[in-house]
Formats: sequence, C-alpha cells, structure tokens
Amino acid sequence: MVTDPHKVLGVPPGASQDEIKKAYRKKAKEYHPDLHPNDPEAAKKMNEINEAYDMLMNPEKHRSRQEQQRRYQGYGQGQGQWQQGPGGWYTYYGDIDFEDIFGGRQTFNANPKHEPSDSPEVSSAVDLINSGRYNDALRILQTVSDDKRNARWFYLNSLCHYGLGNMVQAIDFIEKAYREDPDNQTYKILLQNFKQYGHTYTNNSQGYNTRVLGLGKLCCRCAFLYCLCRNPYFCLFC
Amino acid sequence: MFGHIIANADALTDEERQRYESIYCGLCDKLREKFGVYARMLLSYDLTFVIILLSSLYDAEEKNELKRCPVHPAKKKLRTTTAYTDYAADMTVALAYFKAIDDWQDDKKKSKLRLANKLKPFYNEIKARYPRQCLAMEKELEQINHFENKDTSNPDGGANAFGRLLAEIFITSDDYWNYDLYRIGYGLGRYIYLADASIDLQDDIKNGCYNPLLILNKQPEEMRPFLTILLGEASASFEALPLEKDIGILKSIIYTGIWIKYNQGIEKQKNPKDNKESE
Repeated sequence: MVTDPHKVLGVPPGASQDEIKKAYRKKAKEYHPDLHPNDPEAAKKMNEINEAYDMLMNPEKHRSRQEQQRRYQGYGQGQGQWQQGPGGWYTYYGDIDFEDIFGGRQTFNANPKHEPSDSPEVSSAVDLINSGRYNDALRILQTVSDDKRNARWFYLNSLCHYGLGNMVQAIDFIEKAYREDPDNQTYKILLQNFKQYGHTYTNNSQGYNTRVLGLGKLCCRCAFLYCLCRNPYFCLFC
Repeated sequence: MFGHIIANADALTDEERQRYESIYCGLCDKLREKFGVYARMLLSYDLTFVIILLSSLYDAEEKNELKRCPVHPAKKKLRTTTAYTDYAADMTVALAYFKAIDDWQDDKKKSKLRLANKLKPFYNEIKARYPRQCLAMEKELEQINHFENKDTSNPDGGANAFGRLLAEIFITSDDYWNYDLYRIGYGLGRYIYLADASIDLQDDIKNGCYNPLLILNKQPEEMRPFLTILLGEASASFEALPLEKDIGILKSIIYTGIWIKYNQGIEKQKNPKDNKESE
C-alpha cells in the first residue's frame, strides 16, 4: 500500500498530469521487467510505481478502481493467474460489470424510489430494478398500456437499460423522460450524468476537428491512386 | 469494421506522419512474412493503432529497417516493428477470417468462402497462441449474429458485443493497465459498430436489412451525441494511461481521425436524401 505517491514517483505536490506521466515513464524504465527478469523486488517496486501513478492521476476514482483492479488483475497481488473458465481466460473479462465500467453506482444514485401514483406494474418494476433484475423489470414495463407511458415510464426504462449496459437505450429513454418533464430534477441529473462522458470527450478533444471529412495531405492530390497497400496517404510515386 | 481507427494527417507533423506510416509498413511486412504475400491485402490502420498504443504503454523495443517495397519502387521505405507488430498481424488475420465468414453468410459470395478457407489454418495457429482473444471473437460474433437476426429489438446488443470483442484484443497480459485498456477497446468497439450502422442505414433500408438506427428511430447525424459519449469512455481511460511516446499520433486518431469515416458516410447520405422521395 503506497502512502506517499509523490515520493514514489519523485514529483513535487501539485505536479501537473504531464509531469506525473513523465515521472512515471522515467521510473518505469528503471524497473522495467525486461531489465529485471524474475526479480520479485523489482516487480514489487513496479507495482508501487503503478499504484502511486493511479493515486495521483485519479484520486477520486482510485478507491473504486482498486476494487475493480482486484477483480480484473492478479499482478503483484499474489494471485497472478487469470481465471480458467470454460474457454480459457476469456470468461475473466467477459463477465465485466457494466455499472463499474461507467463508474455508475459509485458516483450517482441510480436507484428509483416508489411514488404514490405508481400503478402496481410500475411499483413491481421499481422493486425489480432495485434488486438488479433489469430484464424482468423491462418485461413488466412493456405491459403498461401506451396511454400510460409517461415520463416516469421512460425514466424507469432508462434505469433498466443502464443496469444492463445498454447505454444507447439508457440515454435515449432518459432524454425522452426529460423532454416530457423538463422540471424533474431527478431526470435532469441522470441525463447530465450519462452525458458526462460526452463532455469529457469534448474537453479532451479541444483543438481537434471532430467534423473532419478528408484524410488530410494526399500526395499530389491523387485521391484515386490508391496504391496496392491501400494506403490513402501516399500514392505509388512517393 | 475497419477504417475508423485512423489518424487525421492534418493533425500530424511531417515527422509523425512518417512514423505512422513506418509502423504501418512494418505491419505490412510482418503480415507478408508470417502469412504470405496476399496477407498484405488485410493490412489496416486500425491494427496499426493497437501497435502504437501498446508499444507506447509498454515501452516496447523497436527495430527499424530501410527497405525497398515492390509497391513503392521510387525509394526505400522505413519499416518499424515492435513485439506488438507480431501480435497485431495475428489479430489482423483472425479478424479477417471472421469477417470472411460473416460476409459469406450475408452475401453468399464464393470469393469470401474461399478466403475463409484459406485463412482457416492460419486462424487455428493464432487461436493456439491467443485463445482468449479468439474465443472472444467467436463468442461475440455469435452474439452479434443473434442481435442482428434473432432478437432484433435491442440496438445496444451488437454494439456491446463488438465492444467486448475489441476490448479483449487490447489486452495482451495480466497487468495493471487491463482495466483502462479494456475500456478503450470497449468504447472504440461500440463506436465502430454504431458508426458503421449509421453509414449503412440507407443501404440497409433499401435491402430490408437489420439496422439498430431503425429500432432507435434515429437518423445517422442524430447518432453523433451517442457516439461522442461512447468515445468519451475510451478517452477517459486513454488519458489515464501514462503515454508519452507517439502521443501526438495517438491523439490525432482518438480525437479527430476516428470521425473521418463516419463524417464521410453522413455526407454521402445527406445529398441523395434531399433528392429522394421519403422511403
């Protein structure tokens, strides 16, 4: 367990992300497994460096990530072996928990509450969602007649799909809920949370053109002269 | 499937562009060396990205060679290979094998069946080397088939399956970075599947084929915010990795190049649409 990540990486407190990455790379070169084959001390040091990096780069997510790491890797934890399920290692990752992928339940509340106006079907659906039985909840929601499919119905569908990892449908349904009832804070917050990754991307892609149409510099503008290796960047004559 | 994970050359310096091409050429050469001259036709920038990402993350050793290439007779070309070039060559052929089977099942073109049969012995060798990735391909392609032909009511089904398939390819060893590598692959895979669906919408409507956008009742351009969110997850993990080498190339792929094929597909569908009667 690393207690002083700054010391491990050799960076001052308040170092920028770029400085942290550079420091990591420098340390990683020293303790690279290829330079220290079969050296448990070097492996231990490498793990400390990795952990220190994670603590500094993602302090809020570090704790939930630690939990996820325990599930997805055994390196340096004394486990070392991947699960040998039917089909070899595959099952190790194939059963990933989608809520964790989106850091879902750790960062915001996706548990619906009962409301007095809920019909028996909707009420059952709420219970099923809270028990993690999303497919069953969806089935019940399907039995609700068209004229009763209101904002809350869309909201509950969204939660089911979110639980199942169906992000496109989750977003689509919460958008519908929000459109039906724009004053509802719960729907607004859930929609904002789903869209958070979109904002992350937009921020990270500042300065990059996401509406680009062409491949960029093509030699001699010979767009149709695709050479045999199908490289769109240069033609036969480069 | 292929052609999305590519750099935007306008966002690269000349030095970066040359480096990008040298890694691409390295993969081409490795494909020829391992699988024969015709395997070069399977070359893609998508798997080149995998080489660059993993080589950067793991600080992989490189080999550079200046060699003549029959396709570019004018001057010698630089080829760069790393340990991950070998891996990417294997993944290229494995994916091509499954794509050939998929195409044969869809279009019944004899040429695709011949290709699948030709690639099969190579695939078996690759599967022995990388059972996890190959089993993921088998399982998830079956899932995609299921969502496209049997349970056609779930527009996320195929996307999530392809995401999981690609995610497994991004992971090569049991280590600290698996979580982030998985999320990069998963985000990119879901993006690719839905971007392809957006591009193919008009053709699929014409041919009466399954398309998730029909279930969602969305036009191709309306998918952009969803696609941005899916890429956002990949981006979050990408930024969490301590990548230094080739970061310019990697960013020009994730933040701009990745949109090229989708943008082109949207543009293409916009113009004929204005002149057509509504379907």
